[in-house]
Amino acid sequence: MRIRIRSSRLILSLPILFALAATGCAKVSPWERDLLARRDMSWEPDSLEAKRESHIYFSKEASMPGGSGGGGGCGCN
Amino acid sequence: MGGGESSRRTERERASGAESVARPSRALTALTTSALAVPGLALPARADSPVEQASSSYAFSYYLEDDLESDRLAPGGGSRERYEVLTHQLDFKLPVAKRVDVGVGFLYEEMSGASPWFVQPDTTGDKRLQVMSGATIEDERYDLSADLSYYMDESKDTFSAGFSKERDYFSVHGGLGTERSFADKNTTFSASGAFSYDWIEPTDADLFAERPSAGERWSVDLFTGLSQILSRASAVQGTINYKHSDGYLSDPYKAIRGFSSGDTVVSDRRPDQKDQLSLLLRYRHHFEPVTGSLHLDYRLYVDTWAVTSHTVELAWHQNLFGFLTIVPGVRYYSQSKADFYETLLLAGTVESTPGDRSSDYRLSPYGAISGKVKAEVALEDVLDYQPGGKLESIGFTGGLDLFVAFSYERYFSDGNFGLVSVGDEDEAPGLVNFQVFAVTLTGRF
Repeated sequence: MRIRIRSSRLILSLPILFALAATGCAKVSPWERDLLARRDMSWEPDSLEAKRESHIYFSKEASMPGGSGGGGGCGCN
Repeated sequence: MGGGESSRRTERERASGAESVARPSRALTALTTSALAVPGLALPARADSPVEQASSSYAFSYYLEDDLESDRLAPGGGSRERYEVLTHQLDFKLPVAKRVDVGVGFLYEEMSGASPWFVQPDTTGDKRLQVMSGATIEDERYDLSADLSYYMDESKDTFSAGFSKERDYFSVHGGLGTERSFADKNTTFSASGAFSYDWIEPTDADLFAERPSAGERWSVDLFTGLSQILSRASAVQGTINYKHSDGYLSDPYKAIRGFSSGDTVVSDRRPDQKDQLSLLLRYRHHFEPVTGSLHLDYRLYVDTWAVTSHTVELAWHQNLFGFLTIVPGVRYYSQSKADFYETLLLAGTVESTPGDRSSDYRLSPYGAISGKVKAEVALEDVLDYQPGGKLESIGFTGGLDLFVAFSYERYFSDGNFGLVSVGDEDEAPGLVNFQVFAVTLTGRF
């Protein structure tokens, strides 16, 4: 695989760091999650918008969408 | 109507109470969702509890590319007018059983305009000029996708599938995904796998000797992610996507020519395999004193065509008066070029039939900056009605909440916007600037 080794290692090692960091987090009880439950705190508050943007960037840039699914389609032109 | 309202209020109160105590998983709804880059696994923004109310969203958007600048168009190089797309999207989400919900999405869009074809040098040989496709392209796309999720107390499993159809293109995809929560749902692990099969039958293949009459490819997509609540007002998510594609990966509507005036134009030809890897990190923080939420996303992407890219997105969700949300946002993107990208082939290489080659601006080195603003109005309890037994069983609770949103995005790309400086010989003259207008109407029943 010709994927640049340094970038690949970085991508693959970050989740481990992420998991280690997560173990240090204070536990938030269910009744304390009112703010986290807000619509504007979701990863993608508007799913149609996320799909639309993902498809546009997929069609106009070289990268694979990192967020929601880009949907099918040629993406040519 | 009174009885309906009463039962609806009871339902609302039950749901509201559940949100804070009896059903803590509701609080995680927005936070534990794995955001999957797999077409077959685009899970909606919800997590380990089924949706309680039926909802439907319709969106109309208008995508418009700027005309190609006149000093970048080759003499006799076709139309400066580029692409425009009119898109209609319609989504439904229904709780069909106590532990099961389904989502269905339709899309229809009409595309028209001219598109970059190949690049040629100007008379001095220093500057690169774009030749556009000869005729205006007109096409339409239909897309249908569906997902079904089954929920347990600490987990969720999802099956999804769909297809997309254009005049010259057909794509089908499907996938399976799972989520598991730990530590009283402070941590959620997700994983999925999906496949897709694409088939292309380029138009006017009989007019261009090098354009294939048909091509196909398949892809496998693997995903894993971890979401973690950091505090009462913040959470972080990390996801990794790997995708392997095999088959016809070239663009039949792109070409490349040699540097010398006598050189011929040859077709775009890319490797028949591609491995892609991306890491996405997302952070959300709510600032309670100002009722605003910060969204910060970063994506690192690499592939075996030597493209590396960085994307940073920043948005602020400001709530005003309880019913209005204003969302300004900015996005920065930078990518390196594919190792077979050239604006022009070196003298003599056209005749010696070189290997992979492309002058596609999307494989060129560049950066892009975009800004967006969105306004959303929430109109709750605009209508009370009495749902029938069947409707009630699929999430119609007797009241209607409406959400209306308007958004506008402006996108600029340029070789000089990238993280690495780009020489004139590499900068694609066809880099695109565009704007998107959108309106979304959501009903929660």
